[in-house]
Amino acid sequence: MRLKIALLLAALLGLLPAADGKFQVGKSFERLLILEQGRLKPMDSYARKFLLGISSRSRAQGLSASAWFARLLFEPVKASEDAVFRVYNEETITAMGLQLPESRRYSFRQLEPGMEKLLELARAADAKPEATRSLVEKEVIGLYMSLSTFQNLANSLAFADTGRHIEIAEEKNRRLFDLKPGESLTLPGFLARRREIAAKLPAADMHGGHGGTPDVAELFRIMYWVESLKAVPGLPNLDILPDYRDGSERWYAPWVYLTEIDDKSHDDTIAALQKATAAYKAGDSAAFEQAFADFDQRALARIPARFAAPRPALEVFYNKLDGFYKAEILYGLSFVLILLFLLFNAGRLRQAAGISLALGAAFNLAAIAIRTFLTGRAPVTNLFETFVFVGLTASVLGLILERFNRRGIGTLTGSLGAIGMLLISGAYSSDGDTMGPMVAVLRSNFWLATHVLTITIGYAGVVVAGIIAHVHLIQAMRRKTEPAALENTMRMLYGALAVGFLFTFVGTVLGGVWADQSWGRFWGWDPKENGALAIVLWTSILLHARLTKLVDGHLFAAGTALGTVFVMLAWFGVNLLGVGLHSYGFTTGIATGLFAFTFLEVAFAAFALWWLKVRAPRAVAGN
Amino acid sequence: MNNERRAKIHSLASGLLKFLSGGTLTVIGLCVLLVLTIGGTVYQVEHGLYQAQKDYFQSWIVLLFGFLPFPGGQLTLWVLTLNLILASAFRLKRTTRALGLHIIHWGLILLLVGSFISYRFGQESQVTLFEGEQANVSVDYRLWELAVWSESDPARMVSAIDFDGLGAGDKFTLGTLPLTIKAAYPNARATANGLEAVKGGNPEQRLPGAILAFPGGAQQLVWAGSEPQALILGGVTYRLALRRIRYPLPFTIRLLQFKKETHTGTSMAKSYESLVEIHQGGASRQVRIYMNHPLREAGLTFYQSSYAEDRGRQSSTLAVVRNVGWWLPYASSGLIFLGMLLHFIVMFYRKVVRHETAD
Repeated sequence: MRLKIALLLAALLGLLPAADGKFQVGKSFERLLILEQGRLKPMDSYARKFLLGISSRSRAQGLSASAWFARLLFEPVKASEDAVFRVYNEETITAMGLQLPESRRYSFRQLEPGMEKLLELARAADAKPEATRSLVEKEVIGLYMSLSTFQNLANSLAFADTGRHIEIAEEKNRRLFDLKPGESLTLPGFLARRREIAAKLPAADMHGGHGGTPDVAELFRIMYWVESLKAVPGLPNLDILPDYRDGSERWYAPWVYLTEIDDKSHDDTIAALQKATAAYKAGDSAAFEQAFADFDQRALARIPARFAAPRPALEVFYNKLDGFYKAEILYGLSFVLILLFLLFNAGRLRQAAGISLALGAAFNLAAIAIRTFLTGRAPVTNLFETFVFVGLTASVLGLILERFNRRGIGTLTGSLGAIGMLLISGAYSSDGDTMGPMVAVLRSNFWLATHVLTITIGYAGVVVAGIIAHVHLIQAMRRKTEPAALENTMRMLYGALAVGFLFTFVGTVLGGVWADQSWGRFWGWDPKENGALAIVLWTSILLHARLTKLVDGHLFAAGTALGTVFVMLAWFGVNLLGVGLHSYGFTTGIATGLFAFTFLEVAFAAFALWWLKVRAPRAVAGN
Repeated sequence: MNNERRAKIHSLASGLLKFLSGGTLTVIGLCVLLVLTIGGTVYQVEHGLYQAQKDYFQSWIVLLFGFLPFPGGQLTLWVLTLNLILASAFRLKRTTRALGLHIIHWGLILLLVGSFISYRFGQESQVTLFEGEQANVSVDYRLWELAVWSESDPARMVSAIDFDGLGAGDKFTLGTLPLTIKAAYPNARATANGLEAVKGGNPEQRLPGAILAFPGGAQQLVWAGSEPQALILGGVTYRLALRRIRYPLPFTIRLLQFKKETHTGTSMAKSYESLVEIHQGGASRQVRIYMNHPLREAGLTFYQSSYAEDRGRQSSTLAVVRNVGWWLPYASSGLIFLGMLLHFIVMFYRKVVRHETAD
């Protein structure tokens, strides 16, 4: 029994290896460090992000992201047959001049013939201002980037690939490369003699064309062939070779290093990569692991102590734990259970819902804690992190409310708020690296930990109060609800709103102090500042109006329900305006959702008020 | 005056006081402020921050949608300040229980007064220096001045007048030079025939111009961005310039080094900092100014604001803020936090420890 529970837990944690006897990429490959967009990350993170970006999935061909990525690097020909490119609009395929059977995902091989046309279309779309691009135009740009990056990556370890070759006719050159009769030149063969070739070629003529004798002309032809396999500059590449020699930090893709630098400083790592390629081709998991263990050790040893030590193993664990996803599932389960409890009123269900919510919060917290440790930053530094943090706060607030008030409403509110937040966070995480570098002004852990945390807790308070307000209005509209239950909900609403008010207010003032420290003014009516102020004003209007009895409980509840709209507008609505000092968020396609949300909330509040005031008037408890 | 009338006036006055100190006014004021906040935010998209501050938040009356008169930010905030003072004086109970609330309200009053002082007396300018350069003046962001000095004066005494508010027909003497404004444009362009007014334009990007007349009928054009214009009058060579207002600094500041770091492999700035030397009263010292770490010196605060690169040379721009009330927001926030803490301790004690119900 114990063992079963342990296995179940391990499975839940996602820690069990998939035991299918196939080739295993192993730990060392997953932990391989790679620099992308200003951050050193393990290959596993890079692979997940890349695969998710092109296919909207975290697995392909039944393989984990890392395993599929290894296939792309070491067996690009096979990988180019995999249907991994998610295309949303059929129009895009037609525009590329292709006739393909209708499908959700296509392979590189299928799409490659349309790439030239795609580039032309992408250039035209790119020339337009971003706001005026149609869905298809956006997809055209995105697909072109995806395909080119795929191509870059597929070629990135080609130097170790014995599968590609070029015919050599000149006897002089055949001798140079030690070719046996009938043999052609492979890339590893070329690489082994690259320094001799470089010495033979007049450097100035490299791009000029064909120098003198036929054998030199042939060497040029070989160089062109090699050049054609080099990466498209400006697109993501496999930057895995560290160079810290002159005191600065640089990471090169193997191809770039070999063709542009090649100063013998990386002969050992290149050799390890060649071994890994051979091991992959031979299907030898152990040798593959060994080669990358060697590579990782050599790469890590090159990073000087004064640079922050990367923690690839922990990040791979974080990826596999996938805490936010598991929290989402548990929150969802909790929500279903508590709804069942409210329908059938069985105490066990309430307990189960509470446990599920608490477990969800634990995963949520664990994921945030690991991130904090990995990045060495305060828990909230970008929009994605605000959502997961508010999700956690909402679930914790729900648990606290439930502890004091055992009617299921705390759990209902907590699970609903938390799942909503995590769902929104998902939309932001698919856009890119959620642990990416920060702009200079934000790099202050003190202020991130005070101002940002306070204000996000405040957002959570207002959102939770808003959800309780919905519950209150629905309860009030049901004739059966007892006044005592209504009063009870109102007390919770009041408490949550007070927490929300307190924290948004303090957070806003702290924001002013930070602004004074970094920009020289306490308050500047910047959109983000105004957004926070709008929440403070709205909650303060509600509290004052209620305290002075200007409004009754129904209006107060309806107003609190609308508080969620203010939070959403302040939170990421202002980023849509595209002005101001605080435009840090990456927001696309959110406007429609925000508009719909606002419309629904206003409609709900109006309907509830009409019902309670006109259709079936009901006196408010405690008024 | 009979008793009845006196009673009527008395009840009217107490009614007014009740309204002015009351929660209804608070709610109305906050609602108006909310509308202004939202309106002023949306307004920024079209008109920019500076204009939004001016039209929505520093004004007494604002025209919503361009035609609907509505109380402006300054009016609203004054009314709310008055309301806060009166509420604390008359409405809130004078009990230990309400002490926290009193402190919060006075903290808010201080915050609002402080923001008025910053608005009224604060002065923002900037210093842009290339590495190795020094300065003893800072330059305004937006405001312009008409400056005159004489070439023959070895001390180069500059006389200047604020350009804002000058209009055609104005006569005055700058230093020793009497002059008349023939025309003044807030935003102008120099053409072959003289100056031509340009409509609109973001206040921060406007380039003003003016036509000046001097005794004896001489005329001279000056415009922003031109070299100082020479004018010979009575054997003296004057130089005229229309330039950003300069404010003297109480010390000399020299930029020793500017350092910018980017995140590896990207163009995203990781940090930027200026190493400056402050020279004052015969002594000098070095200071690092970087993000979130301004330099406060002699009533001025220097912030790392921006940087530029020109032919391999780096320049750093420091924002310079002179604000006598800079400490007020800190004091008032402290007061508000204290009041909140006190209030919540009292509430917690009453609710949880003594199980009292809300009143």
